[in-house]
Amino acid sequence: MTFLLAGSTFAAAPPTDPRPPRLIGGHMSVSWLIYAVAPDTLCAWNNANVGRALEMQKLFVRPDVLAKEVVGSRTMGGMNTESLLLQKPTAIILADFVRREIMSPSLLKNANIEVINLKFGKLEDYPDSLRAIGQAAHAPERANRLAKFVENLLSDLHQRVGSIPDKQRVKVYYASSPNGMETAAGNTVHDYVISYAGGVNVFPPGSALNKVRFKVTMEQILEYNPDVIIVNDREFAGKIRSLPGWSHLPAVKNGKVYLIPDAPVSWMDRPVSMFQLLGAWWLATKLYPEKFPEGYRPMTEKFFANMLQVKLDAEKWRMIATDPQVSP
Amino acid sequence: MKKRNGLILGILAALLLVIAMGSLLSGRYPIDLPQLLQLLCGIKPSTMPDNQYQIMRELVFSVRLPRMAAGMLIGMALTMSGTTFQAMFRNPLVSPELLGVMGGALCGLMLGFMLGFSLPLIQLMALGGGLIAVSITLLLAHAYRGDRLLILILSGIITGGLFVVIFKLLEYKMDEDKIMPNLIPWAMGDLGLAHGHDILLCLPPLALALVILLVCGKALNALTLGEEAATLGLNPTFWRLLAIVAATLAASLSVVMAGIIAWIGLVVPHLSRLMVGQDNRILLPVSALTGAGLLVLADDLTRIAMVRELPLSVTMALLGIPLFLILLCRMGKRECNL
Repeated sequence: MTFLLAGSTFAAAPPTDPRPPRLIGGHMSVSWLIYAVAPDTLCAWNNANVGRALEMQKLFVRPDVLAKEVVGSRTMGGMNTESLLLQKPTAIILADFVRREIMSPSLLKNANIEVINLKFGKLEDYPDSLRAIGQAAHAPERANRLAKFVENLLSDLHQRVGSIPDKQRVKVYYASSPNGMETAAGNTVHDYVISYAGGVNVFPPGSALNKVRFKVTMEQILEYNPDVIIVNDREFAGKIRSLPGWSHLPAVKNGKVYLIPDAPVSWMDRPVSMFQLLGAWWLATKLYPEKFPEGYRPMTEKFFANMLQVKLDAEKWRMIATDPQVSP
Repeated sequence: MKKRNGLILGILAALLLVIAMGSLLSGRYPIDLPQLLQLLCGIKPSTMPDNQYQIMRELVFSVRLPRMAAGMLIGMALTMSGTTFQAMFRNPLVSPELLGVMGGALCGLMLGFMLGFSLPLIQLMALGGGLIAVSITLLLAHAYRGDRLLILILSGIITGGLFVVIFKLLEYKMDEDKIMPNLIPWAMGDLGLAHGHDILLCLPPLALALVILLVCGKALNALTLGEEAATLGLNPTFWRLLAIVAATLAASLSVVMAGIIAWIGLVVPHLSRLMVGQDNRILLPVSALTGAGLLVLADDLTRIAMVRELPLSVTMALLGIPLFLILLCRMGKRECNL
């Protein structure tokens, strides 16, 4: 068993394993990265989607890859050792806090499966993760190109919003549940989009034990008085202006409520994925429109072209941009 | 009657052997019967590549065999525990969680994960949680006067409620991203959690608990008579305490091996009672064999029904709920009399 850690000085070396790469991600976040780097090497997905999520993926994911089997995930459960073996993976790529073995070291050795542990945390970790996957997928050049694209995106974003003084930063409330009464604490993987976009999460960082999601009351939200509200749930977003309590908030009155895009998956969290990078850019264009006169479409087009190899035609753009801003 | 019970025991034991063999053959990775027999005898088929032989060997001895062994042991533990509690409390709705053992064990697991302890320590905390819960129940029951059995059941309900509150408080402090993925398999039951060394470690105390429960069979028959047991020359307090400790230990050790598995401790005693009646001397071993077979079968289903595994408690519920409804209909006709 080999452990390969994505480090900050990762150098692209020629692939040493002569077998055609077949990769499995430990959960969807990793599978999306594998899909971005080398879709043909992805041998299975982790979760099955239904409804809108499935429609979105049909629109943005290659049908032959989307049709691959679903083997479960390390974080949501259901991974079966024998099902994994039948996929004949050359590497299983993990990025999580799960403490169970994926399979015994001797089984990994006999089946000649490499286990790659990616650093799981900040958005700055994505370039190294992409390069590590590039090595395993025998696609180091493409991985490096994507990594540089991500580095440029983050650097450009930082240049535009990084110097905003604390007092001028926009206060954001993230309504993450269908009734809007649940949110993610500041400084966690679930609110990175807000902090990278230069906003301030009105809900303070979690307790010593790092709880990340909290239920809140209407009184708390009124007290926080956010400048902007970002919303996960379409139905809630549609009715927020008529809901008691919410309708009194200046953010709602001023039309500063935004529905988080979800094509092909949420740009915020659930699941946490590389689309957070685009989410941070999107939110920054909403919080500081004067710093992004071009809006978020050009970067979205570049992101989809680079990461998913998809050209955004009118129909696809409509799916992404439908109701992004709830209030007029 | 003795002959019939012996025959039932023999049939169940033979069925269990067939289920065990079937379990070793069941899995998504194809291993056929001749290959399995060769693997079990340590013979490498000449045409099989080395690494494929090693993979199959590893799958049989490190994945399927421990799961099958754990399934048998846990099935026995939970059903004998359930049978004992149902007989002792003369209540057909009683299962091993009655005295708060499962809630206590779950809180122990959660606290262990939150504090970042090593897995053996977390398992020890589960055991400790279960035993603490039962101790609280017994202390509460001891503190109040009245119908001993009723007070004990009420104390169990209070303790269970207390541990639900503790669980909720811990949940409020928990980091979902780091703790939940680790906790879910324990909360939903997963025989894949039971490694060979866990089973070997739990085997001696579990075997002791199960033997004690078997020995308690005759006393349980007397205890079902209530306070009249004392008139039969039995010390009810001693036997009741012994049975409670053994049943609690068995249920707690099952949590230590594979987390919380619902339904089996409730359903199988009823099923067994339909087969052999109320005599706990025969009911306990029949429950043990039935529970062992049913849990191994349920685990086989979780492994082969889909590419992904279902949580064991879900499979057990899918099997247990219809079975329980059928049993209720049958019992309705016969009138349940414990």
